[in-house]
Amino acid sequence: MKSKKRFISAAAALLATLAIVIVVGKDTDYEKTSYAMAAMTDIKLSGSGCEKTAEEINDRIVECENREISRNIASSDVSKINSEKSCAVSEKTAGYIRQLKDFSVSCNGAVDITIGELTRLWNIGGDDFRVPDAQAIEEALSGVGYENIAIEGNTVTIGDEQTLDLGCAGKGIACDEALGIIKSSGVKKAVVSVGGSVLLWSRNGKKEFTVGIRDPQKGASDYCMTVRTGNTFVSTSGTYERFSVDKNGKEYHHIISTETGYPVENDVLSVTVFCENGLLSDSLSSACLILGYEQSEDLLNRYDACAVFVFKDNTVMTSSGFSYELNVKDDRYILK
Amino acid sequence: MKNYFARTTQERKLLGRVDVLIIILIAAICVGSCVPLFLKKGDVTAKIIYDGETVEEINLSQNEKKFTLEVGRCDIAVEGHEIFFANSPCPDKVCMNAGRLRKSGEFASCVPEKVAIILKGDRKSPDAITY
Repeated sequence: MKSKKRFISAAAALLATLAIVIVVGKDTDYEKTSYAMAAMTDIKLSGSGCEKTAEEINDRIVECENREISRNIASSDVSKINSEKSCAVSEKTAGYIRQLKDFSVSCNGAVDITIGELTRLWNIGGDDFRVPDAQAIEEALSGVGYENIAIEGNTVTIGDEQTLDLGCAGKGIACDEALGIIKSSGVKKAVVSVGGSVLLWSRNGKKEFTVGIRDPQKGASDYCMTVRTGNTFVSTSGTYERFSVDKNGKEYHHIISTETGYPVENDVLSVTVFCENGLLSDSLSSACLILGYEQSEDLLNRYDACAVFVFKDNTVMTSSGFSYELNVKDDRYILK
Repeated sequence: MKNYFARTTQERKLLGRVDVLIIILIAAICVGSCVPLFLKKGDVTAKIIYDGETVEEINLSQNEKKFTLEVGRCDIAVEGHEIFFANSPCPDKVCMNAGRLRKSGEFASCVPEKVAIILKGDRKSPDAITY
């Protein structure tokens, strides 16, 4: 009788231990690295069902690019709008375009998705780069104007000379889509990077993430400062990311001014934006780089966002709403 | 004097030889399941990813050799504890400009060719890098 009792309790203890091991095993990090939206994507998840969720996120990002926002894939909604100038698209695509038009209004067109002809003309980072001639830039510039986008229900209409390019927000949109999937899964903690745009999220909402800000003067994985955050979206725009060099050795980066038609020239090297929405963090980082520090302040506050600016003289400034813990790791950079 | 090593009948009932064996077994399972957590720290491993699939893993900490791997249309060179893109047909050469990688958390990627090198090791690097 006694040995039977002992056997039962031993078996129960073993089962409990195994159960703990299995549960702990399920919580082990899962990571998937892939490519989408002309960028490296990295999905790191903790919790249960991570592998399945990572696959779902990856599939959704690819679907979002192929069916909705790519201007280079003929079957996408944006390509259809660009060729037909007026057509019905999915509710999601119409929603993104609506949000981005509203954003253009907020930033007075500093970021404008009707810039497509200009970005095509410049072809920054492309195979056969050469500086476009001034007249071609002038012509492409005349087609830029978010005011000409009309959205009725899911039907989007643009001007005859216009071409949409959602490149300013694509990676942020992908992060938004990732969060939608994560929230309805068993995932407890997620770090999703699409290019340099990042989603940091944990179910408990604690300040438990450290994000590194790239050193603008070094490689993509060299960071010069870190920021301690909670759940947020982070995007960085920098003049170092995607550029071409002309025959005289002059560098041209990919952020084109909607005023001049040429790559933006000011004192900013990079801007990192923290915001509760991926589409906005991505668009805001471009807008802030174009507008500069002073003019970005109101825009950031309007969206309850904050930013870290790195300037060409190696000084670093944060926007007034910045309340995270910032640590500068490289003494070449001076926090003002 | 009280003999602390002498076991009373009651103690013997509470903790028999079989019970001790069970406790040791459970402790061994617990310790064993924690071993991988400690093994993650220390060595730096380079993961080479091609089109979303890991095609090679190299323990850089243990490596003393010099060799080149052909991944897609890229050449990846390994020299001792360092790894880097030696050649790529991409137009912008961002991957080659990333230089030599040696520390955990560093990465280089050739987006047009869908090849990436990611270094894994200790957990001190940030959760993500924004760029």
